[in-house]
Formats: sequence, C-alpha cells, structure tokens
Amino acid sequence: MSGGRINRDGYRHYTGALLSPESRFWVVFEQQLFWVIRNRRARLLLLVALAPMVVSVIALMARMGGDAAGFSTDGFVEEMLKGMLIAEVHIGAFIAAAAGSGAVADERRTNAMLLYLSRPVCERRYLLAKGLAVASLLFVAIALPGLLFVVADIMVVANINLAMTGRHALGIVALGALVGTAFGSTVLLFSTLAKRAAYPALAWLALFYFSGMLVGMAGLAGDLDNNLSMLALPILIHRLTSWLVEGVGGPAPLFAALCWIALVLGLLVWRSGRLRKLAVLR
Amino acid sequence: MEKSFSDSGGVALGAWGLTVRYGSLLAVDSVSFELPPGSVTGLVGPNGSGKSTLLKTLLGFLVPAGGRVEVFGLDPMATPLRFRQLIGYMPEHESFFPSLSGLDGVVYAGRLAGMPKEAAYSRAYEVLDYLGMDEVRLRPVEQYSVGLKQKIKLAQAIVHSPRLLLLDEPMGGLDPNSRDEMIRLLAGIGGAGVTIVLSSHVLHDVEQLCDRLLALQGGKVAFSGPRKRLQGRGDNAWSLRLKGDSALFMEAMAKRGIQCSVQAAGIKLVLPDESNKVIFEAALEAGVEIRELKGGDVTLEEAFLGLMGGS
Repeated sequence: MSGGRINRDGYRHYTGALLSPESRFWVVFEQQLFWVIRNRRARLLLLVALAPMVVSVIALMARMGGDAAGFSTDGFVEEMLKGMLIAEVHIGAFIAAAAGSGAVADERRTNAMLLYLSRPVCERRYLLAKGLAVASLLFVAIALPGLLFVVADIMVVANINLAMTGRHALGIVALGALVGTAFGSTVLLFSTLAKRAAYPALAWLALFYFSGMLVGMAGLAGDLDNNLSMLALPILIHRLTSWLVEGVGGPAPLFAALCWIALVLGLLVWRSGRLRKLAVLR
Repeated sequence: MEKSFSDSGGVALGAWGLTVRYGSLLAVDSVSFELPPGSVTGLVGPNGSGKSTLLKTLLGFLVPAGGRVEVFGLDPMATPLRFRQLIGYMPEHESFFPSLSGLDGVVYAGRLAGMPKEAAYSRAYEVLDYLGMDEVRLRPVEQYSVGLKQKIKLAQAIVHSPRLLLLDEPMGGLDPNSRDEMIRLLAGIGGAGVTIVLSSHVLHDVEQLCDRLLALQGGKVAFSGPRKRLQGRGDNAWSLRLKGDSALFMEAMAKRGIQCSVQAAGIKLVLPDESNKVIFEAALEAGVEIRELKGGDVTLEEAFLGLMGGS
C-alpha cells in the first residue's frame, strides 16, 4: 500500500509490492482480451460463429430422426463436421479482422506506444501477449462450436464410435489452435504497420481471399494435390481441416500452417525491435 | 558490474559526453551534466537546440552515438526494464490508452509498472483525486479537454511512484489557471523528493518551478547548474533609459551578440561579463544618450536571453 494517502497528505511514494517483470505479459494479455471482448463487432461475429454449429446439430438430429434404425452416421457426421469447421474458419477470418486489427494500430493512433516503452514492459512480450489474446479468442470461436457439435453427436447418435469421436475432438482443438495462432499473429503483424484499424483489417481479408484468386489465376487451384495450391489460404484451410477431421491427405497442410506461423512470428519479433522507432517517429 | 542506487554517487541523472546523431546531423554534441537526487531541473533552449532529442535519449528511445547516461547508477540501454521501473514519462503530445476511462488508463499504467491490481486501483483513485480529477475519472480519455489530458498524462506518469520524472512540455496548451495548478502539483511532487526534469519553452514556468537549469544551444550545454546562479549574474544585468532611437541602440547591441528587452522600466539586458563598456560603445555607435544606467536583478528570461546571445 502507499505510504499515506496522497490525496489527503500531499504527494507520497508508493511503497507496496511490485510483481515480477514476467507478470506484465499477462497484464497486457488480460487488457487486450478485455478490449477484444468489448469490441461490438467481434462479439457479434462470435455469436454468428455459433450459427453453423446450430444448423449442423439440427441437421444431425433430423437425419437421426428420419433414419434411426441402425444407420451408420460416421461419414455423414464427418462431412457435416468438416463443412461446419470450414465455415467457422471463414467466420474466424472476419473475427480476426475485427478483434486483432486495432491491437497495435489503435495504440499507435493514440500515441500509447510511448506509455508502454517508458514502462518496464519488454517490446517482444508486449506483441506476443497481444497476439496470444487474439489467438485465444479465435481458438474459442473455432473450437468451441466444433466441440459442442461433438457433444451433440455423442448425445444424439446411439451407436457412437468413441475412437472416431475422440479423433474429431482432437482435430478440432488442433485446428482451433493452428488457425487461431496463424490468423491472430498475421493480423497483429498487419496491425503494427498502420495507425488505423481499418487498414490492417482490409489487408488481412484481402490476403485471405485474394490469395485464393491469385493461385487460381496461376492455374494452381484446380489441382488440390498440388502443394503449391496451399498458397491460397482458403485451400490450405480446406486441406488442413480434411486432414485433421477425416484423415484425408498427408500432413503437408500441417507443415504449411506451421511454416506460416513460424514466418509470421519471426516477422513479429523483428517488428518488436522497431517499436521504439515507431514511437519516436509518431 | 551494475551499480545499485546507493552507488550512484549522489547523481540521480547524469550524462557524460553524450552525442546523438540523426544520420549526418549532430543533434546532441558531447553533452555532460549531473543532476542531484530531488532536484527539479528545467531543460530549456530554443527550437532545434536538442531538448527533445536529449529527452528521448535519456528515455532510451534513441541510441547515442557516443558517451553514456546513468539514472541512479543504471544504464538505460544496458538494463532497460530496471531503468524504466525508476522513471515516469509525460510525453509532449496526446498519449493515452485507447477506449479506456481515465481511471482504467491509470490503473493499466500502474499494472504495467508491476503494481498488483488492487494496489493499482487504490493508488489510481488517490492520484486522480490528488490531481483533482475524481469527478471525471470514469469518462473516456478521448472526451477530455486539453487540460484534463495533460493531467491524465501526469497521473499515468506518477501512479507507480517513479524516482525520476521526465516531463515534456507539461504546461503545453494550458490556460493560465490550469498552468498555475499544474505548477502547484509538480511542486508538490518535487517536494516529496522526486527528481524532475522538465522540458519547457515557457521560462516563466521554469522560473516558478525549477531550482536548476540545463540550457541547450545548438546541441551543446550552454548552462548547467542552479537557476539562481544564472539569474544571480546580477552584476552582468543592466537596466537603462536612453534619449534617442532605442531601436538603433538595440541593433548595435545585437551586432555585439547581446539581446535587449524593452520593458516599462526601460531597456534591460544581460552582458556576458561584468564589464559594461560594450553598452557605451553601442550607445556611441547608435548616436543615443544614456540617461540612466543601473545594475539589477534579472528574470530568468532576461538571463536566458543574455546567455543565448552571449554564447
């Protein structure tokens, strides 16, 4: 506690305890999470992200009700789950734009970078904490509906294949973690480049969707077995989901996603070294 | 080996041969000074004299091309996190955490400095009350007036109880009442033993608040020491009344590198040394007659003009 109340006794020094420098990472993380959750667009999109799950569960229940006598739902459930997850990932791209684009850009606009840089906060941890907050939200937006669908699957389907269901759950968690990290870190990287949240949001959505168009124009998108087609992010997501949920195709999409994450994290670390210059230049 | 605070030899902030370059431009040229703990120092100088560059270098934002800086025995570049724990910084321009109320911004600033959440809240309430902001603490900072924005920057800078407070134009944009209030608040903080470095263009504010001066000119130190020592150069200060065209006289003095100011009491000037021979030479050259010539106290502004003109 402070040594006396400064508003009553005049200015006094704070003499209470101080937390370790490592704790500042979680302070930035918590604050960024608070900002993201308070973002109205992000909240709306989180609700929208539940829609594919609701539709899928209704479809599953309708299918079970119409053909309950000994019908195997494995193929149907997988198709349904994959389609739902791909829809979630596309909504996740918009959530990333809404939640992550202002993470650094807004603070550059209000000149708050000077406040961070004059406090005992490591620049690298500052960026990583913000990235983790956005990635966590994306993980919840993608994995939670998927896991709820798996729970519904267990409750609705009588002759459930537990091994298959467990694989689905693991695949959903892995997809949420990979996509959350990749999307979150990429949007954050863009956010360090601007002073207005709209620009990184547009740049990210353009990258996501135009990459598919450009790869298609290059004649690579027609052949899904061609690994170069994964330069189109929607195709990468499609193949990653297929591999994680259905086990279709090799692990190439996983490597591609990991390479993407490593590249962006490397660029973020490099950008963290430039934050001082950005703050000084305003 | 790193020094502890007690090893810093009575120097709160010191620079030795500090040189900063922007490419080929020499912005700060071999600047050396030592400020004792608890001092309130005015960092003054004309535009482009290197004040902002020096402040940014002291904060560790700019890497010096040569020389070294120490704050309570710590090197800002070598141990940035420990150094930043000791300082509070109030930037010149608008600077706040987006979408937060005044209270939440100050709490966040405190938590970033390592204060536990409850302690940060408690201290933030006290600081905002101390600064007279208790009624607006829940309003978003974006909606604050210029005066309140200046105060919230100060609140963010002092919430974690820094030992060294670096203030860049803290009175910028304030009306006279708010300016007086800010001076009173800063004097209270300085009175509690916090070492303050205040960069300002307004010498009147510096005169009211600071006990020491660090004057820069052309990136070099023109004066560093107690303010009274500069103003106490009363032997070199003169007040005179003329018969004739005083503009010609002031022009003649300017040619000799001495700036004059016209006041109700006559013309005031500060000479670089104790000899007043130059006044008579200029009067002769301008063809004016000196009716009255007397030595006297000088304001900081007069002393500063004398310093800048004479160096």
